[in-house]
Amino acid sequence: MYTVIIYIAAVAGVILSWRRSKEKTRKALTIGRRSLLNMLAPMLTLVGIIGLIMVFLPPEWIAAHLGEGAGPIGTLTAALVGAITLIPGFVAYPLAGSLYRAGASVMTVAAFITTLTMVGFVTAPFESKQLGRRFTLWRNGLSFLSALVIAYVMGVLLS
Amino acid sequence: MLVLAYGLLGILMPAQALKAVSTVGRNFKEVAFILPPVFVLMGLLDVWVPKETVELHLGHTSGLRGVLLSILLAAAAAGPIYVAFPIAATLLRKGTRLLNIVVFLTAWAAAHLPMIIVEMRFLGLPFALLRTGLTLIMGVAIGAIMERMAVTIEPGR
Repeated sequence: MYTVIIYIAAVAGVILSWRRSKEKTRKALTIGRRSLLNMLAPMLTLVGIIGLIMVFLPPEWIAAHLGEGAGPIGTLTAALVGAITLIPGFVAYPLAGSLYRAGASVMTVAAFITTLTMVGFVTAPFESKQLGRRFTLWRNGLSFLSALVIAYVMGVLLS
Repeated sequence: MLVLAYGLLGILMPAQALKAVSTVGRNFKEVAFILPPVFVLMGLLDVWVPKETVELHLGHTSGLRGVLLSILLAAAAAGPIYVAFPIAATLLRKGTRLLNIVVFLTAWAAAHLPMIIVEMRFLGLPFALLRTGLTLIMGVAIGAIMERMAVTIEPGR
């Protein structure tokens, strides 16, 4: 559904752009295509890594084990697992839901989801290539600390 | 190396290898579909939006409006976080300040509208809203700290 909206936006954009300048539209499409092709290799690598993660750290295993770990240790483990793994959203949220039902605290579930979204260990090499190593280290480091703060606040407010 | 890993997996644990490959296939389809329009839009942005405009709305004097615009741009986009890196690099080249780059990346990862709906379904409305709100606030804080520490961006290193 949402994909359709994005497609409509792109097609409408190209039509509007084409009307105003064919030259510029060609240039835009070339830029888009070049970026897309540059994306392909890292994308295949990352998708491949995700596949391996799903096998060696299956969502069911994560749900079963993070659910047990009570207290700060459990929360910290969840934050670490969230930071190093890369799980697509359509798997992550159901997983977090079952984590919660399995008895994990709000803090643990929040730590997991927050580091999962904010910190990207697996994507760091690619981020580094596009935006530099210093930027990547700072952003991910501070994001990890923030995730712990967010998890704590959420645990206090929601349980 | 990845190919080697998959080869080994295929020989040693065929069942797991099959599972990994099917995950890869599903994931690839998911991402491959969303990429072309996102990059077409990025190309259009690159060509049509002049540097001055980006600087004005996302640059050093853009203030709160710049932050909100960064969030809006990222929330409306789609695709995994690694798609956002080249787009962030484009925005940066056009004069976006570092704080807004960080906010853009944080919002891209944490505040996609369709994903928030999924999150609401599995974790409830209070959880989803609170997490999204706190994450965005922290994104601004991280960006501010990084600007204060004069973190520079040197692509390719």
